[in-house]
Amino acid sequence: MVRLLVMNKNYFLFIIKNAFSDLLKNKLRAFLTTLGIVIGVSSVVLLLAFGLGLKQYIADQFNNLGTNLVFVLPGQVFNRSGGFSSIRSSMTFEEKDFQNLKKAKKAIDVVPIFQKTTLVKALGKEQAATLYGTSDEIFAVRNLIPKYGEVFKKTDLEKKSKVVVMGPEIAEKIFDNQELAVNQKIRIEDQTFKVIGVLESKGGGGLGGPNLDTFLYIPYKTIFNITGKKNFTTFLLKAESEKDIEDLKKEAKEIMLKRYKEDDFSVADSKEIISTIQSIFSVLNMVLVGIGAVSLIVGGVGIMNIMYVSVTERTREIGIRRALGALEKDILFQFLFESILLSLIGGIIGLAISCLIVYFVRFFFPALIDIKSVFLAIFVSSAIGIFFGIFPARKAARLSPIEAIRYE
Amino acid sequence: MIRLKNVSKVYQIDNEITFYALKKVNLEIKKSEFVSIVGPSGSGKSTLMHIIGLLDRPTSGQVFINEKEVSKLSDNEISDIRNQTVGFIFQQFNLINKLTALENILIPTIYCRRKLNFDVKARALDLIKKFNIAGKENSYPNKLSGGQQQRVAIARALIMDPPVILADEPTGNLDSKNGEIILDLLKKLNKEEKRTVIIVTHDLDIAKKTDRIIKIKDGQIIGYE
Repeated sequence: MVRLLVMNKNYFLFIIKNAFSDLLKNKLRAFLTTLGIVIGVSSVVLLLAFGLGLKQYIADQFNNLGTNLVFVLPGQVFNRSGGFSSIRSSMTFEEKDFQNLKKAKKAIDVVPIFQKTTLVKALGKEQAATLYGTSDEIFAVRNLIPKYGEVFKKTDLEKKSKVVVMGPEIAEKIFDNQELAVNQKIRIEDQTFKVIGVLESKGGGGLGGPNLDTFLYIPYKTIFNITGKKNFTTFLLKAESEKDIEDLKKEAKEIMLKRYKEDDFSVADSKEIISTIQSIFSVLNMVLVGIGAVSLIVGGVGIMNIMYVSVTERTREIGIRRALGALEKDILFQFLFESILLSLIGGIIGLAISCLIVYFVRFFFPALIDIKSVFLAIFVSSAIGIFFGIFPARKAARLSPIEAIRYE
Repeated sequence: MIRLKNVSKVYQIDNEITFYALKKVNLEIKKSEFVSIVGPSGSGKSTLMHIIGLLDRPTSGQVFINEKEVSKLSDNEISDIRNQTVGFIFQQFNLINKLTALENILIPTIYCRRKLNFDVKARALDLIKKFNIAGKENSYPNKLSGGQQQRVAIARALIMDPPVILADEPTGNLDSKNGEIILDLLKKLNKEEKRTVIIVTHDLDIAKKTDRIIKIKDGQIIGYE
């Protein structure tokens, strides 16, 4: 005669109807109880969305600056634990390295870069800027397009012309007007240069990526001529496609190892750099999500509290149901269902609010709610309903029928 | 039908005081009997009813229903007997206020896992009609008069077609006219439908309408009438 919890349709309808009518009977109370979960779920989902958005933003920034790129840099870029090394090498590369790297079969372009911080003087103003002594291929490799004027060409490089292409931000700072900057003269390193072009804005900077908008591009041979030194600080190698990147890295490394020790240089591709930056932000994001999760626990405690109140208020109802044949587990299930419903409704409202916020945020930031966040919100809110509902529900189920029915 | 053998119910108030709600009660109620249990308040009659109705367990002694000992059964098995064998009627009606009259009547069918061989809703509506509360099936208990509420409660007690009806002061919260109607109903359930009907009351006038009176005082049966 042992009865199993056979779930028939009527039973479920009954439980659902009961739970809804109980919640609707105390609308304000249900709303306030749910609010804790709403806030908890939306803070977790939003933080996850912003974290994903940040990752996307960083990747976009890098991809915007050219894809399939391999960097040859002095010293060790990454430390052993996967982050960026804090030690900056003062070592530089030479013309010979440039010529060697050009022989790499998988490289369709090799761009040498000599980077230096300098002072720009024009119209009586002085402005600090980053100077890039490089070849004309940089513009193609990094997707840099002139907005006004033009970029320098191979002939400018060979003739060691004193020409400069400016990033829009630095042009704006010096001339107040990007268009007027073209054909102006500026003083760099005590020499007079002619501005031949101002580039389209690339945005970025700040989140690990360089802000190319503040750079000055000058033919490297011109720089060598002025400074008398022939050093490079970076080589940019472009692979034909993504699948060639690993081969190109290997090739570049072998070439460099002929003249340097392994610790003296690094070969990295943009993905590695992106993922390293991303992982730093991920840790930060997880800490924030964890803090958001605390509010979920507080919300769960709120549900537990109100369910205990509900059990006490409905002691007599429990007694009646028991007298009419309800099992302990029927009572348990009824109360548990109610707490899950409360929590789940909170989770769904929280999710909806997050979606709405993210929809508007996306106009200026690539925040993203992925399917994982949706499942997480549903799963976590149900789990909170179960976890914090089980104790009050067990209290309800274990009431003795006779005590319960006598309860006034 | 129902047999109690040496049933005692003892409450330990504190270390020194023990209270005997029932003292070695022996009792037999036959199938299709119409009996009342009468006694003043505190006599133990409610405790006796709770034990007969399997809402409570005796401290010692045995309870048999249809010659099967039930006092040692598990909570699930006892819940099953409450669901299918016993129909309860209470003084305070004990309807659930947030459910309609019809939903209240259907509660026992929800908790029955056995496949029922009748249309529960049709049966509920039949009972509503039979008890003169037609048109009230979708009303909530607080919109019904006391007499109507008690008739809903009786319909609920009958929905599973139990052989035993247990009524605890069924007229206690009703005026005499409505009380009369309820008592007539209970009598019909016994005479026409051959159900065992047990009424617990402090009122000897009510008890006299039953076929047999069991008098109880201080936890002991003091006589029959």
